[in-house]
Amino acid sequence: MEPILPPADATGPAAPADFEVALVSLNQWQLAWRRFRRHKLAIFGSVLFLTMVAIAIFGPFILPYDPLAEPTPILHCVGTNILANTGCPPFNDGHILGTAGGTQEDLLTLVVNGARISLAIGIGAATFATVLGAIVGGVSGYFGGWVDTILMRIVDVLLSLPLLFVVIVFAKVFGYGDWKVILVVFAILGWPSIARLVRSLFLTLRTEVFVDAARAVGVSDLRIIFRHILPNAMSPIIVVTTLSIAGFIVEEAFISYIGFGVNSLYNPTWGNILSNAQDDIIVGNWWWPLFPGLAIVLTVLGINFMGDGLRDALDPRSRE
Amino acid sequence: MIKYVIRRFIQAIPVLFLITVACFALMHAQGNPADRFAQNPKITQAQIAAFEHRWGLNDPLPLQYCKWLGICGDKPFLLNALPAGLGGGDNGILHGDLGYSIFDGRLVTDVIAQRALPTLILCTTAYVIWVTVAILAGVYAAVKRYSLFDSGLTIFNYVGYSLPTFWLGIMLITFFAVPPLRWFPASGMNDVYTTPAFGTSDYWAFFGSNPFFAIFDLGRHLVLPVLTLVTVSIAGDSRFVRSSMLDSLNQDYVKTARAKGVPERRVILRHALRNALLPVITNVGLEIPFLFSGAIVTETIFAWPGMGRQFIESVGHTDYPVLMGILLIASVAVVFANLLADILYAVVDPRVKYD
Amino acid sequence: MFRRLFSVLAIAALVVAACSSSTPTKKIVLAEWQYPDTVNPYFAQAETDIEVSDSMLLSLVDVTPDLRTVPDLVTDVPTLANGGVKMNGAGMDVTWTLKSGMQWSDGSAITCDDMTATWKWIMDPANTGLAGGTVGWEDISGIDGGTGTTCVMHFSKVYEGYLYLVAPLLPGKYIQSIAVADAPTKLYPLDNLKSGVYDGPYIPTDAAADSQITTVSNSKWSTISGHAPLVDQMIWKYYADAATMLQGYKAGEYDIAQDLNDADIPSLAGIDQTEQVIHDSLTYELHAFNQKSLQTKFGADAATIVKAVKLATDREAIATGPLGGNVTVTNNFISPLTWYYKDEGGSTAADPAKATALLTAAGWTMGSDGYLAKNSTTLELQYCTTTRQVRQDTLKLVATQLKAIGIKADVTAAPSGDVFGGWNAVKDSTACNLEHGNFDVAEFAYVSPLDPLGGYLVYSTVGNPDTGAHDGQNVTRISIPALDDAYNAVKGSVDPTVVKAAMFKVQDIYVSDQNTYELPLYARKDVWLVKPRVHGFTGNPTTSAGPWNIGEWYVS
Repeated sequence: MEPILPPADATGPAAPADFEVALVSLNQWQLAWRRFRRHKLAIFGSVLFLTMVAIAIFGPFILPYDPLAEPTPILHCVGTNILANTGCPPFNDGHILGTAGGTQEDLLTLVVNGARISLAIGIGAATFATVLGAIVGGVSGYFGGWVDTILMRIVDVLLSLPLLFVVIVFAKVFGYGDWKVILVVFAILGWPSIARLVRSLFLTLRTEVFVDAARAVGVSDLRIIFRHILPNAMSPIIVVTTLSIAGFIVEEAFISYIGFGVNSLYNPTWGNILSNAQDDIIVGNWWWPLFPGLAIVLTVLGINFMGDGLRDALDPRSRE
Repeated sequence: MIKYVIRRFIQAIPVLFLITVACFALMHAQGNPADRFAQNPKITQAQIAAFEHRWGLNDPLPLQYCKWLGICGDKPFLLNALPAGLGGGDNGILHGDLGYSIFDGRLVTDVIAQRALPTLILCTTAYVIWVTVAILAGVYAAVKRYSLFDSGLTIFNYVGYSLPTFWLGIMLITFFAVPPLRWFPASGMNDVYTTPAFGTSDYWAFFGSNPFFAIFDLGRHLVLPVLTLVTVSIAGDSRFVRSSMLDSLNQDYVKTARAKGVPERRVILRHALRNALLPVITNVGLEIPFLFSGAIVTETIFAWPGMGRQFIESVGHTDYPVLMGILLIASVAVVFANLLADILYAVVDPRVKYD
Repeated sequence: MFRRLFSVLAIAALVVAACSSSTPTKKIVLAEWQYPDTVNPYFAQAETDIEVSDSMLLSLVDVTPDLRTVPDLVTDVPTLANGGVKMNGAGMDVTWTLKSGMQWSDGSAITCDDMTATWKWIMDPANTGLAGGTVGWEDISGIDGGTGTTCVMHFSKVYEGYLYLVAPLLPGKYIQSIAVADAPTKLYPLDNLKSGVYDGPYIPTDAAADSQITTVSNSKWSTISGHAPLVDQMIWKYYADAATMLQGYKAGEYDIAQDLNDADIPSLAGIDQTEQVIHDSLTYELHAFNQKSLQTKFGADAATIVKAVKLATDREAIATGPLGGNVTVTNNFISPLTWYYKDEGGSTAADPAKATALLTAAGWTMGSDGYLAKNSTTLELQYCTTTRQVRQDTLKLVATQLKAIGIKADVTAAPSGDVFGGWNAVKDSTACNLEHGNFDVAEFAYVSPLDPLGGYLVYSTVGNPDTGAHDGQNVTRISIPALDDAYNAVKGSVDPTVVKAAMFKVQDIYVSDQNTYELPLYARKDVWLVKPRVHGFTGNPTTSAGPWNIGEWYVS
């Protein structure tokens, strides 16, 4: 630990004349941040992820093309013999990443706009799944007994239903292509595993002394769960939530490929851009599938690095 | 031990019931299933009448569910659940009656049975390969930490884990199946020119007379789809195995064993590995659901005639009986797989309390 | 140890692979990406079903790629001119002369009894789900001929479409052996095709769902055509979608690729031109305007709005953009290949200025949101289509074009099962369902009818799906008396001059201002890929498609 000198305008007892090591106490979050900072890979990952988020939020404002309108079609790419119908290569006619086939839209605009919904689904579903899972897992782990048995059976059932199958059936029932429906389905199918994790955490934490102390003082059960135990369980929950964002982004690409994802007409997502692009790989159109795929890979990579860093930083027992 | 197994079995029963409730709810969310049958050329009037009678489609919902399950029916309540030979009824899931496919009027059980074998072949092969490779790679990387292999595996893990499998599948076809390489076939289960269609009686006759050739052909067709499925899974699992093994190697008892002079090989295999494998078993058991749903995309890309593709087509045809049949079977299989994983864990880990 | 095991296995595999190549059987493999749900054309809802059954069951007459009708099971085509058709009071008698000595695949003779049995089978009240219903068959009062080969079909009313009615001829003994009520599942069952009786050049031995259908040469076919089939096996291989099917072609997994069209032409780059067979198709892409919903929304303005939309839709841009210049814009729904086609001329260019003028004159003013409005109603149209990517791209382009003149187009893409599902097969409120009329404008494709009566149920008042048995195809719900009269004239005559004149009337109405129901976009193309080792393939724009002359294909 680096030596820290007390502030010059300390109002306490007079500062010692010599350079003595004076300790400033850091809480666990600040400690974690310190450990995180030393993890080069984690910093890199976080920068990558936050860049993607920034692109998603601000990107659409600075791009010149309107994603809701289709450009006037041309037959051949400007100055070449390539059929515009399968997409024009990068740097042709001002399109930095080239154009997509079919609609001949600017690929950069598509990918940047796609970031919005892909990340919204990923982060939104992860958040909701965590909140739901934490509540159920906390209640289940704390109370035990019948409550635990019933809740865990429900968790077992939801974990047994194959995700892709259920997504497809939900899409049939609630309508196609709406990204909000997909977000909700992911959250509904994602909370069970988080509930399991939280429950096992609670099973160990509820035997801690501070819980007995709180009960002795007369704190209500619910308060104990949410204000006493849960904060102590936050670390693994944060890690799992972060990593599940990546999982949901890839899953969104999956269901777009089999045709049950977000409707691509007005809502580009990385997943549906990628699946639209698959057919034309045959004719050598490498840029159309490459860039959304790259966006997915970089985001997932960034999240994974960040998640690993968080895991090491937040776990007091880690000894990498 | 036996008591533990029995307890787990009993605990699984309410889960199975709840699964059937979930499936029933999903099926009826789109209205009366019999509506689909009306005016459908593939279903005869006799079949519709039988369908409505067996599942009592004009009864109140709880009674319908009971009949669909097979507990209620012609015979008195609960007695109906017994096998027909013992005096029970013959309707419902408990008697293996999953209804008729709306699309072609065949029994749902026939439709699924025909498609289950290809999926099982594909997924079991993939599963065995990826678990084996993941464990071997993860253990080796943990033991030879910081070596070239370890760094290589880490890179492979990170990259492989973020690849969407369908992209990988198409890339594999584009490189290996299409000229100029043409090392492996691009799709299907058999070479159309030399082998009859898989699953037909002609195929089994051919298999009987040329077993090696048939297996070789099937193997060639398995390579690319299996490669697609295992790459992502190896990336994820080997990372898990590696960290589990690292944790295990850092334990005090390993240091003790080394201090006692136990040969390194024994330390790794007999001490560290056994403990490292415990969380791996749970993790690997939790991946069994993936076998049923994760293969949908791979089956589509490689034109593999399996259950996943059948599911997507049935959605296209709004063929609810088949959809629910597949969902039910997949979920039930998962429950039993988890049961198996739990029992296996209990067998391997003496610390598990049987209460 | 592993190395030894591996080498043993490798050698074994090589040895067995070498030994297993027995006497070479001549095979042709055709690829498709939609597995049929029946091989009985009378139940077929999709062209892919008819494609497969074309090699197994034959009709009385056949249609060549240049749309001439030629005899197949009969010796000549009966017409009014050659005396094959004789008027008889209010009805007519058609004489079919079957070739002599023809046999079914089980060895029994093909006679007029089979025709009678087919007729009775279709008219049997227990027969549910015939794709074409009993139209035409119900006008037959009797068939003479018995076990002979000269059959006389007595019609109580004149029926124009008699030539293509018996498509195909079914074997009497076989269809009578199975209860008619069970026919959809037990007649020619997909999981036991071998049990059926056929007369085509290649008959099925087994079928693996979604994977493969194997057909072998039918030795009895020589009694029909005069020569044996030229190949031992025709195998149908099924892929999951067109893209993977194309990959398979490049990987050399089969000989002939089917069920491709103009939208796939850009993906053919890299395939030799000599292997591509591209024909003009009878299929055309169109926008259908739902009169009922438009009138409910816009009242008397509906017709003006449709006119404006038709003027503002830039079809040339559609042909250039999403279709990559591979199609030709058309103004007529009848194909130039047919004998009753009338060249109506006309321009295919868009005129958005005129569209705006029309709407302004009708009282529509531009609102602050950029869309036209009148009496607080926004000019908003619900566009529907299937999930085919090229259609979605097209409608997105159309929405942009309409937005430029202030019309709001909400585009929805629904799965084809929802769009084309029959009245009882889908929920009443299913989005974009054509039969229920849940759309304002729909984009899909029709096959331009070879038989002029093919448009009867599509454009006549009787075809309104809201009425009767709900099986009509008049999804735009139009009711134009002049059109009804023209089609009734077609239906009730077998005189080509009368039919031609009536169809000219139909086409005149189609290109006039009375047409507020349809905007034809472009004529589509059929595309096949054929490996050089296969000879005899020509392709065919009718629903029989490629396999129409499958008996003549051979390999080198």
